[in-house]
Amino acid sequence: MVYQQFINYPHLNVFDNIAFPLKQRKMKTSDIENEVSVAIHKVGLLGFEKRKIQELSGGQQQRVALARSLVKKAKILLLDEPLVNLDYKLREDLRNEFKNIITSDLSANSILLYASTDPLEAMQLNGDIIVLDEGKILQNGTAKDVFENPTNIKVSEITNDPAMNILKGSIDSNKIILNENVQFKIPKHVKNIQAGTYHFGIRASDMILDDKGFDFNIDIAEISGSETFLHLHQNVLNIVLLIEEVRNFNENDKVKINFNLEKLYVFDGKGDLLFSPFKMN
Amino acid sequence: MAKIEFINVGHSYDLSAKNPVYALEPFSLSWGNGGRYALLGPSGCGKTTMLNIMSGLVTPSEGNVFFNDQNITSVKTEQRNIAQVFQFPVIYNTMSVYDNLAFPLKCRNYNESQIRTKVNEVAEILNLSSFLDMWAKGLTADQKQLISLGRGLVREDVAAILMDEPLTVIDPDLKFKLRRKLKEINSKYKTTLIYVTHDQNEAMTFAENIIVMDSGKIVQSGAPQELFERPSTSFVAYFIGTPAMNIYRCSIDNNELVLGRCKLKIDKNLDQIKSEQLKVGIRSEFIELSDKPQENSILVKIKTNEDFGNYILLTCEFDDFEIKVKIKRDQSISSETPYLILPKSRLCLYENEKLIN
Repeated sequence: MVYQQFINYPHLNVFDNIAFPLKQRKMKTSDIENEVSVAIHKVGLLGFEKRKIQELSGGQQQRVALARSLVKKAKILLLDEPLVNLDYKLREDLRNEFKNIITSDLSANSILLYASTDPLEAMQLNGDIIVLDEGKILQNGTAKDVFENPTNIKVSEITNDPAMNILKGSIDSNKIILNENVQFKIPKHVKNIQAGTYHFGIRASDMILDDKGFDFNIDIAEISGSETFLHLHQNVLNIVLLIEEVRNFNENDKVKINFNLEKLYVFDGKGDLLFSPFKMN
Repeated sequence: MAKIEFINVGHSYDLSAKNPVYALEPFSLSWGNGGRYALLGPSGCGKTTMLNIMSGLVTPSEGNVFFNDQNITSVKTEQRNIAQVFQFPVIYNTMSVYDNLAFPLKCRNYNESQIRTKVNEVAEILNLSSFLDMWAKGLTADQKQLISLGRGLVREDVAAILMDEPLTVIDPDLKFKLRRKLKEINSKYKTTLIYVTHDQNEAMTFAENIIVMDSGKIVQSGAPQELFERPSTSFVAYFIGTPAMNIYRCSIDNNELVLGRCKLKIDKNLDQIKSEQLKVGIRSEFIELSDKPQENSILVKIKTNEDFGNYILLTCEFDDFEIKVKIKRDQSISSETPYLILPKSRLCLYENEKLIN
């Protein structure tokens, strides 16, 4: 197991920390040296073998913990938010590295279970995702399927960062009505839908700035990594729009936006998925 | 409020050493009145030293500090009219919220009605009006942090509010609200806000101007968009943005950049550049995919294709190079060996790790 906190034996150096489970198994010294040096190489700690744990940065300590879990060649590898306590840039670097290390190390009959609150980490691992909330399994499927067809609103919130925009509205005389200003035609993939009230879902990345679009006011522009999240409102309608670059915006400025309607989700009053832009199983 | 200027300010904690190591290398910089600034850098880069020099907790071993053209280098902290907000809320637990906010004014002998007006106004802005009679002790961490901030806002003579990682103890959902509040306050009161953080997202969201620091040096100062599009050193190109900028060693031949077997045009006259230490960089976001060769296109092989939901990140290979490209999730990829277009206006050229403008 690898935990959120950096857990290592403080009195042992890097090599001995990683060798520990093998020594417990009374493995031959020469074999231990082989196994440990392979693991040290994999996690990028070459040259750090004799260092004390306290002399390492958080990222390096977490590499030691990962290496120790790898040498055991266990059937099940559990990682519990291993990157959550690291700085943003380090988290990004290790997210890529850990994925490559773990996936290249997993043998055909072993299992990796990785707990995370970050949809990005879950997507990047590209395996099966189990979505949990308040002790219940909400959905279980491939990363692609869970992302494309979230079974209900809660899943769409958990598996998207920023959470999918969920907008209350209605369908009446072949139109989707979000409020008196924001109305549009029903897209093709929403077939034979009856008049009534629904929740409409659209991802932040499926909305665009568009001179011919609807007027919205900027609450704040948040910049995360290379992305700009525009938090917008029009009356009581709140929307987050994502731009894949860093742009400066001022609060309370007006922008015009549009919806990529081909990517619209429709959920019923209870929040269960009715229509998805992707083929549903 | 004040204009703050640092002229050749540098600091070493141990001047007796033969070769003093600078915690902060000498630099000059000015902070305009009413601006929103972030000091951004990894831990140990000198951010807090710079903040402490500004507040007077540290006297710089070199250089001078000016507030409104007045040299205050040796003026004590309490005479500088600086308000500070720290990582952890610093409040008077035994006082009510009202008295906490009123404290700085009482100390300066404001009269009762002036105090009441000002405290009520600031409480209103910070959404603390309904808590004024409560003990400060019973409040949540974010409310306490708002009080720390409010004590800086009640005074009209404050030159700047300095904040050292002020959102560390705040829940992620509330961070967003507080950041918004800070921006609102800045536009209403025009108080200079200086914000120290190691978190890119906080700095980029909060500041109009970011001062990026690394190992005791200022490496770049500019607007978020500028840092992203034209990072002035390869460190900034790595540190800002996800993923880091693609950067490669290159050489020049016949006014073109040579990168392995590829040649690239760039919006610059390359005649004057003689250095051997050249690198060229481009952001993943600015690369386009094409079926056919075009100007500044390179033929690559797609190595991995990672679906992040909001976008797809392609890792491509050409010669011995690896290049990351961000594309929209619904963009179709017709070939495993596409051409990548590197628009010449988007290329950044670095000589000895520094951007050539």
